[in-house]
Amino acid sequence: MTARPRRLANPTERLWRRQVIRLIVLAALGTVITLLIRALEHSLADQGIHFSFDYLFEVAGIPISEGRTLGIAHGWPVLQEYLPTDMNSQALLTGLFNTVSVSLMAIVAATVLGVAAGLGRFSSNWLLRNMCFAFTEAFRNTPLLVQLMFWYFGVLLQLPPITAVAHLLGAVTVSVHGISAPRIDSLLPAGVGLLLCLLAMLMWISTTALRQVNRRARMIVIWLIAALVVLALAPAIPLNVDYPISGRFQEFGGVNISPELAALVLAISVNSAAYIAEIVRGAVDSLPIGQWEAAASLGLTRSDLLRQVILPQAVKIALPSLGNQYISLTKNTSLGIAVGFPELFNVTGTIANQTGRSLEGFLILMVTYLLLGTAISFAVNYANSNALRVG
Amino acid sequence: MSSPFHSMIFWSRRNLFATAKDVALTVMLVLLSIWAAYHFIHWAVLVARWDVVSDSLRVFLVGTLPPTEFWRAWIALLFVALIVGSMSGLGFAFRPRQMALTILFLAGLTFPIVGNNIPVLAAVCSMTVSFVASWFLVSRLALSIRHVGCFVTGSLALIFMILAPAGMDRWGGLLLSLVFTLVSSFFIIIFGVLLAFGRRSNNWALRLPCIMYIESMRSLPLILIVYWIWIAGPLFFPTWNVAAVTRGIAGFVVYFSAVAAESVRGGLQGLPKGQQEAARSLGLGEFDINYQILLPQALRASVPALMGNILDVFNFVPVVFVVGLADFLRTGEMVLASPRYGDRTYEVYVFMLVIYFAIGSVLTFVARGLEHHLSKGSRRLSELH
Repeated sequence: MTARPRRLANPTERLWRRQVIRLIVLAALGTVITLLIRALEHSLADQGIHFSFDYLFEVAGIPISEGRTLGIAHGWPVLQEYLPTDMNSQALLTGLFNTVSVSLMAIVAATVLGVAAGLGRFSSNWLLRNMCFAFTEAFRNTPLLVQLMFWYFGVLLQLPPITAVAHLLGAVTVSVHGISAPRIDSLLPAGVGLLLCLLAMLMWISTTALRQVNRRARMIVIWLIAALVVLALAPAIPLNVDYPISGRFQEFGGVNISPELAALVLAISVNSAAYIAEIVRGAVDSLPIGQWEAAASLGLTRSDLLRQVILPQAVKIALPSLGNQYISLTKNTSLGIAVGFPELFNVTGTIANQTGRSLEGFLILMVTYLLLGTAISFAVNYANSNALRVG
Repeated sequence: MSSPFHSMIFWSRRNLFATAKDVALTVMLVLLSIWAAYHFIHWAVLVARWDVVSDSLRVFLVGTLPPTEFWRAWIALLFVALIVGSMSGLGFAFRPRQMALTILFLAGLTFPIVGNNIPVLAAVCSMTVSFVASWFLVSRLALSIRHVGCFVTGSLALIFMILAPAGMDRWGGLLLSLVFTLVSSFFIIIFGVLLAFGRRSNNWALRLPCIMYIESMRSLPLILIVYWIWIAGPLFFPTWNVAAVTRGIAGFVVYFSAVAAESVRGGLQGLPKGQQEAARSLGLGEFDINYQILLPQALRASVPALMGNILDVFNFVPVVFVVGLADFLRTGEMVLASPRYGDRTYEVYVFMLVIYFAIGSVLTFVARGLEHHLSKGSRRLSELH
């Protein structure tokens, strides 16, 4: 470990050296990239493939077991059932739809479970504390893919066959073909419902801003939202409920969750919940112990203490890591290929196999995942600035 | 009043039955755990047929490696034991009593599975001996990270040279998972350090490509990179015939070096600025500042995070199914696919989960120990000043 003392380089010399390094690095990078592209062009030409995205508008011809795609009806874009006669781009959109819906479901479930398990680490009950610890350790120290396979083969495919379907809560059926629940059909056209949802969301966001200004105004807005929801549902009364009917081989009607979807959502949300529990624990742990003592000495009950004093501060600390966890959760949905769930990576792989366009598929996937990650960071940053403003 | 019985009552009053709510919760949780434990033990002892594990142990451990090549696997595992032992010796002092207890515990777990298979027992014993000996030597001789680094590099090269003649596409099972993790971790740390320093460079021609690389890799799913490198390798280098294992390792290195770079950067950012300034005022060149002053300290600070990255590598190895390699998980699926053992889903998955959990917990434990060890060291240093 003896460092040879060197002559101090004078500023001009350093400037020159930096320029030379810059040139060398850029030249090396340029050469490598050019060589790679040349090699690629060469081997693509050998196989008779030309780089182009035209294949996106050819008929896909592959079956996709679930998910929806964008189509055009009466000049309006609508979400519709995917058919093998649709274009490759529509097949990709189906994959994107599946990836996004799995991610959203898993994010909600993982957050609820993870926050609960993380706060459980601070329970006054020794048993609960250690069970939460065991939960995080068990799911963080085993591979996600093994967990996914276990959920799929060990839990969901062991459910009773369709001939002996189990009924839960009267109307929910559980079998090896998945979980089916009654669906409430709205009589409103889908577009109007979507608009109402958007309006309600915008109003909800405005309430967070109103919290500072006026509690009364906030309550009025919340009542308005409730009224809107009632208005949206009113024409649908009497509710038109579509019950699932067990056929010989599958369920008809209702909402059906396939075993692949259920396994993927379960595996990813439970696994991420373990990581989120660690994040929450770390955030709560980093608060000075005086916060607990001061709140307790004010006579707050334990739940008030958690909700009013600890959580608002912990959220601020935890949000950036939570955002990273959500991004890696979204990336992990690509493991769905292992159980045959048609998410974006799986569909792109199938199309690449069919058309031989793996390079274009890779570029599309890269851009899409980058955009998904960016969208999540934006959402988390928005929540972060909001949390900072509130606190 | 201070009898153990009384203190036990006092403890449970405080930790289990403090309030009425706590009493209800405790009773519920105890009943729930008894119910779960009863069912699990009942299944594990009476229902489960564990012969699938002992019969297919070979497949689980080495995949489809032919029996004539087993000696290669054993020698490779011997070196793995040496590597792990010497790395542990670097972080932890050698404690004979704890070591003996651990070995007894592991022996209790191993014997029922291995049975009275003399060659296997001999091999396991020699692995244990080399593990303990390397830990002891590194710890007692106080070898530096440089010596161990050279040793690990040499061992990895040896492992590769010993295993390669058996046919690289025949590696499988736990052996593949371990060798895969070790080899890719080695390169990941090297490239991670380079990328982390590149990201901090004053020179934009170095900094920008590094930032772009790190950020774009971190936003992509690992499985996509592994799959694509597997596909694109022959497109870029049509004349090279690269084994699937090497391409898989390349994919892991490409992805995880970006992740490791962030860990090293965390360590670098934690260093006081005075270190760099003091080194500069001594007249050291930029390379010497980075290599002799900053790197050792940053590495020490980022060891726990890097251990976490290695655990991630190990936990993501099953993803190589996408390029057709048969790692530990895949061999389990192969066993389940045979008609004889088709109905042993739970036995096989429970076995695999236990092994994965054991290795993962050891890595986590070592990472925590190192973190504790290192933070103790720095506190002592601050007390000196």
